[in-house]
Amino acid sequence: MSENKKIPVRLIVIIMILTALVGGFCLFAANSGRGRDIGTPAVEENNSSQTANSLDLVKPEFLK
Amino acid sequence: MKTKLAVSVLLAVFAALPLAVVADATITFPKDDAGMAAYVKLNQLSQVNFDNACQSLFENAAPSGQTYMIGTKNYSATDDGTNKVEFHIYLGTDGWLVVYLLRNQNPSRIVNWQSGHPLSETLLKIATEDAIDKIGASVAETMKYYDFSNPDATKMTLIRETVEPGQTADDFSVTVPGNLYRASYSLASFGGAYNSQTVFASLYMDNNQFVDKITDTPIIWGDYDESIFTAQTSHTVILNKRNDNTTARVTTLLFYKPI
Repeated sequence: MSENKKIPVRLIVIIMILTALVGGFCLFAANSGRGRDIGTPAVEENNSSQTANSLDLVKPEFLK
Repeated sequence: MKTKLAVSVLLAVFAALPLAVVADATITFPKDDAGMAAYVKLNQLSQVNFDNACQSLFENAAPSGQTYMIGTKNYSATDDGTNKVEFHIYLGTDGWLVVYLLRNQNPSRIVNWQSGHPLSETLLKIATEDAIDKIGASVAETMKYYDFSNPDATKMTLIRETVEPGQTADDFSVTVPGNLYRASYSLASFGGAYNSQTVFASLYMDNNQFVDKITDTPIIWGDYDESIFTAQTSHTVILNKRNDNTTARVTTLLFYKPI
């Protein structure tokens, strides 16, 4: 194998590190909001006879 | 020069005239009278749609302006057609349709106790969908809720508790984040012969503080004591009933703004 066809190991390592960093950041960003709905009151149910539903209240455009 | 100025002023006045007769919900909607509401913007509301609404939308119509109309219609909260709730309906020629309770009506009147409806199928939603259907216009955006009497509230949570026949009590605990503006309830009992001598269902909260009871009517709409039902503290709502074949239910409505 000639010198100019050698695999650029250093470049591949740098790309892998960058990919891991970006991937890790994306995974963190995606998971940070999961299961965290501060708009819903924390309701503790003691059996299945209880249900809850949260709806948004939005100011109409004609009032803005 | 003076003639040019006069012509310009006249042109401006004539240009503004059509705008003056177009409905403007900012001005015509009675926001100081309204409480809990649902609204939609309708597409291309034609004169035919407006006339349809005049004829079929209302049971009673109040005196209205040329560019808007307000009327009322009753919807039953229960399967038997009784326990009717009166909704006001505003329709402007600019396409705004608002279905609302008056400010002095408890917002818990939107709770739908008809069987087969999930908690989110409120009477207000049913009334709004019925109005859209009667008008015959398409909808520009999905229906939204707003409480004109609590303008800072951005969330409404409904929590339903049920005590079935043969049971005597059930409860749940809730912690409201942020600021709580109102906590209401619709307390209902089904399957009884109501009279003032018999308590069919009782509502309590924290440390068994009495809230309300059902005796001679199957539904009561009311408010929790705001000095007790506070935000950012866990509260327990307890529903008790007689040990018989009746069913007791309570839907709690929380109007709040999360932090």
